[in-house]
Amino acid sequence: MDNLKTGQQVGASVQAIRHHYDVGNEFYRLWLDPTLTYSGALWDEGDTLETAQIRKMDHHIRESRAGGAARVLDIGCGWGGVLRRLMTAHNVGRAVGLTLSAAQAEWNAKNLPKGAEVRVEGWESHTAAEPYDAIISIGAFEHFARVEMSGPQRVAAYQAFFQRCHELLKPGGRLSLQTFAYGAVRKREQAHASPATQFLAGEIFPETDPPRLVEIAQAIEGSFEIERLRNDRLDYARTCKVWLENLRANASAATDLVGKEVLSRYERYLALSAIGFQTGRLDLYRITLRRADLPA
Amino acid sequence: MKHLDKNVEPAQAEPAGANRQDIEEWLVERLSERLKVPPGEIDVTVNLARYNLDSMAAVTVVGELEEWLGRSLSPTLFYEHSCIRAVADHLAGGARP
Repeated sequence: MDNLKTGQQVGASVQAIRHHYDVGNEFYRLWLDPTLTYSGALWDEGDTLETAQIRKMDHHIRESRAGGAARVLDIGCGWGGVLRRLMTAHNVGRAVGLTLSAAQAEWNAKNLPKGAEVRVEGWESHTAAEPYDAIISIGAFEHFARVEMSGPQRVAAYQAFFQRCHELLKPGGRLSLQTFAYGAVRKREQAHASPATQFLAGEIFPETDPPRLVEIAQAIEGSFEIERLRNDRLDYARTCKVWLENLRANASAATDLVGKEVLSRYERYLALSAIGFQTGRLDLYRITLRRADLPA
Repeated sequence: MKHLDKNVEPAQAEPAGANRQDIEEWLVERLSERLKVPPGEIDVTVNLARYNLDSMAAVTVVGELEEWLGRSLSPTLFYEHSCIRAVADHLAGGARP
C-alpha cells in the first residue's frame, strides 16, 4: 500500500478511468438523460429517466444536508449534474467536484454555473482551505479497488477514502454515498469466475472491482456511522434498460462516433448489468453516513 | 438466420407469425445448446433459475431471439418470467392458445 502514502491511485488508475469515461462526451449524450448522469436513478411512478435522475440527486442532497450549505464536495462528479443541481435548486454557496476524466472536466469547464468548480484530481490528493459542510459521492467508490487486491487491502483502500472524507468534513457532517456492489447471493470468488464479470472487468471497467457490503461496513469503523442504508438494485436494473433502449434507438449515430465494435460492447455491458441488478448478483447501495466524533 | 435448424417447422421460418408454441420450441432448442442439455430434459414449466443459465449466455440467446423475431426485447426477459412457457406466452402476446 505504498502508493497510498504518495497520493497515487490505489484503485483504478487515471488511464483505466479514462478508458471508460473518455470514450467521448458525444457518445454518452446519445444514451444518458439530458443531465448526463451516469449512475443508477431513483424511480418513482411516472418518472422519465431525467426526473428519476434528478430525484436521485435530490435524495443525496437531502441525505447529506447539503441544501443551503456554504461548501459542498462531490467526489466523482461526472458531467456535473449534482454540482448544477446544488447551485441552481439548493442554494449552495460553493460546490467543488472531483473527477479523473479529462473529457468530463473539459465539458464541465464550459457548462457549469458560477460558484461550481471542477478539479481533475483524486480524493487522495484533494485538499481544502476550509472543511466541507457535506460530501456527496455517486458512482465513484466502485473504482477504489482492483480485482487482484486481497480482502484486507481492499478494506484498507476503502478505509483511506472514509478517513479522507472525515478530514474534509466539518464535525457531524454527512457523506451521502452511492455505489453498486456485489450482491450477497454469491461469494466473491464465484462472482469473479463468472463470464459476465470477466467481460466487465476486462473490457468495460479495467482495474475496477466493486465492493461488498461487509467491506464498506468494516472500512467505516472509527470514521463514520451509518444513518440509513438502502439497496435499490431494481432501480439500477431499470436505469440500465432505459440506457440500452436509448443506445439502440441511436445506434446509427453511435456507430458513426465509436464504431460497431464499441457499440456492441456497450450494448452487452448494459444488458449484463441489467441482469446483474435484476437478479441480485449486483446491489445498489445508497448510504447516509455521519462523521463520527466521539467525546475524548 | 444461419442459426436456424434446416428442419424447422414452416411456422418457425416465418417469425412474424410465431405463436407461443413456436417460440417455446425455439427457446428449448437454443437453451439446450447453450446449457449442453438434451432438449428432452428441458422442462418448459420449471423455473429458469434451475438451469444455471449464466448472464453472458442469456444476453446472447436474447440477442438471437431478437434477430429471429425482428424486434427489441428486454435484456432481463428470462428473469422476469417464471419459466420458458411464461416467456413464450409473454412474447406471443399473453394469451395461451
